[in-house]
Amino acid sequence: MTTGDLIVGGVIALMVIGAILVLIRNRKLGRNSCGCKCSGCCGSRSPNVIIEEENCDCKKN
Amino acid sequence: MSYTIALAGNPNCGKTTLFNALTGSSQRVGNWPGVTIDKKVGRIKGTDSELVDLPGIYSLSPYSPEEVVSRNFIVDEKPDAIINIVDATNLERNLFLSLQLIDMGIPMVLALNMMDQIESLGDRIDVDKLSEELGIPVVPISAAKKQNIDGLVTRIMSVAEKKQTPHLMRYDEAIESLAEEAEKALSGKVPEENIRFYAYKLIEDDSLVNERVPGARDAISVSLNALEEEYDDSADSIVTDNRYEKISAIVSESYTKAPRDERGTLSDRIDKIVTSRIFGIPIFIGIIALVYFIAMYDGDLGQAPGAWATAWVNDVLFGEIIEPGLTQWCIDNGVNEALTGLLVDGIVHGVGAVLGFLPQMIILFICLVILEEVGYMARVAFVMDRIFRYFNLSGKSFIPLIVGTGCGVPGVMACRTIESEADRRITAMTVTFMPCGAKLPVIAAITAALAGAWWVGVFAYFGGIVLVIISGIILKKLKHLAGKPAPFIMELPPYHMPRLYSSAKSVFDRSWSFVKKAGTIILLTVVIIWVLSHYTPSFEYIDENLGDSILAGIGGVLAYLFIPLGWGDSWELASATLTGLIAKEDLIGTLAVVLESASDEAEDVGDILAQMMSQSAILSFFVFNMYCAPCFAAIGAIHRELGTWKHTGIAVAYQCLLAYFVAMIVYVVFGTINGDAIEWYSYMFAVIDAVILAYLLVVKDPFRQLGNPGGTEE
Repeated sequence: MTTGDLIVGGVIALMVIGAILVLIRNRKLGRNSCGCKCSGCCGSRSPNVIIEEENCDCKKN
Repeated sequence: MSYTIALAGNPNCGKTTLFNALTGSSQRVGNWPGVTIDKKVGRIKGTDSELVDLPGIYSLSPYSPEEVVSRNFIVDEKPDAIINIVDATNLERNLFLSLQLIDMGIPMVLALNMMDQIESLGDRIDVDKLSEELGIPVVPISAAKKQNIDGLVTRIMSVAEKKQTPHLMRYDEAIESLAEEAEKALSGKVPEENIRFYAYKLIEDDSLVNERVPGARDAISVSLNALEEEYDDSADSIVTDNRYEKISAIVSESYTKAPRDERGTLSDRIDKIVTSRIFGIPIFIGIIALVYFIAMYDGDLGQAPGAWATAWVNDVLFGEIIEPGLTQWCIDNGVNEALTGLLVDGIVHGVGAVLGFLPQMIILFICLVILEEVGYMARVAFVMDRIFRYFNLSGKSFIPLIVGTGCGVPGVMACRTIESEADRRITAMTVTFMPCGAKLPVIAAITAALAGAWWVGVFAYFGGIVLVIISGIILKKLKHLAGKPAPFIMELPPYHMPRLYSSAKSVFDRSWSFVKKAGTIILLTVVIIWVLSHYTPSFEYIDENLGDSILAGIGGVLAYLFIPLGWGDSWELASATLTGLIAKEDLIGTLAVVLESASDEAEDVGDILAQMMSQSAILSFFVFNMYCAPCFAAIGAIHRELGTWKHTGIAVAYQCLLAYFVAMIVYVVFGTINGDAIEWYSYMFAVIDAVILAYLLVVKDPFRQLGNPGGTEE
């Protein structure tokens, strides 16, 4: 195993673990995979779709 | 002291803007009336008091989910005070809710919003006179310009502290006498402080009072019948008329209008064209076509800015700089071939293929945000109502469709504003036919595969609308989804220039959320896809002949389903369709990993698709993936709207089947016109599909005349 292998393997592992941790944190914060909360969803062009945090759909996904 | 203050008002009167100004929050604000479907809570700056933003409503009658939410909060939660925000430019209509709120007997301040517009119109409102007539404090403000917000906070705190209840409004003597009788009948059975509100609701035969105090209406039936005979009208209409007469008197005392242009306002004049029966639809199609042209066009006339930027990111940034640089670095440092492949061909290439479309998406977002900001999208809902109504659907269903073009999850959730259960279920089942933000990379890739055919996006957009209409026609023939369309009433907000900050923030938020998604869910998917496509079932690494891989085995089984659609026996396309269920962008990420890493030349997904398939097959691949089952998040949202997994399963199966039928017909029709080689069984399936669809469309609707036979309409 070369130093290059260690660096690349480490970087890939960091990216994968980081992505998983971000997804878990998002889930706990009631955010969807896009990183947004359903409250005032930024993907939606209707700005007034407002859901109470405890009723947020993405928490239950 | 800490108080709970309710913020109540009509839709689109600047409520969210005032909420943001009072709390320092940054909830999205738009020129778009009323799909706020639940309350939102914040803390008023500089105080310990809580502000509860209620959905925009026109009255306290429980006709819609928004009204139920607002009314239940005010009646059951009993806020310490109410800020009733009123659009000063629509004073007469807005005061109808104010009079009902006054009846509640809760301390209240009227925030007279948009006073800057009143001044620019040359009108004048005598605030003191208005306050005197209404019997509550009135504070003139401009929420958008943050004018007199501190004055409003001071006033509402003072009113809450002193528990300063409104002076009750007096109506005709006959009604007042009946109201007193109703109060006696309700005494001790409802909260004394709200008794006047309940008394009027009893007269109006409101379900709230009838449920809480059964039989109370019988106690006033003699006087009630006498009143109805005297006025020759129903009691609720008499009360409503009296309220409007009162409002008219108040407004004439306090509001002086400057002379108006006989041709109407600029908004009125634009609306005469934009919402006309003749030009409304062609203008809508033209505008959406222009939006996709600006973002996607790449042809004889040159490259549109979005297409140019995307080509640069894909070809130069990733194709010539990042990927060759990383590959060379790996070779120089003796990195293992599999690790190099995973890093460069998997992660960088897969994620890069999706991120490469970001410039085109930004251009699209800018155009669509401008359309929403200026108030055009509200007109589209109005224009589409005519068409939807013709097909026995409600125009209100179109609002979730517009929301769904951003993201399917809030699109499905926006269905909750539809009163009719049948319409709500049908819309929830079909809203994901619209091309959401996640489908934009697919649209862009197919545009490239079809030699810069910018119309692909327009096709996806209007194809989605057509499929919603087709579904509405078909599904309304089912007993449990039958019913008359719900009435659609929507106030058209005036046109205004897009606000630079909120528009820029909206575009940034959407773009950033796309980048975050690429860095998380898409990154993880491409890693898994790369591993599955570069290892055999016995876990041996393969760099070529990916057909021996684990993924090829899985995709290969599915591929048989798509042979009639012209996809050949491509396990790559079948696998990509499968990963599209995780997130639609993954479709492109997967194709980038499994197609491009197997390609000798550095080409993008579009180019490879163009080489491996006929144009008609590319189009069928596109149609199926646009309209089949949405991502898991959207399926979850559909499940919550439909209630059971059984119904959700039926909805997803329906979507996939319809997408399959339409993809088949498009493949055969386009292929025949284009002169592509099409197998006999595709013709046969296309004819069968067309016949089934035609039958379902033309077969008589057994419930059309019956209104609501299933009893499902609320």
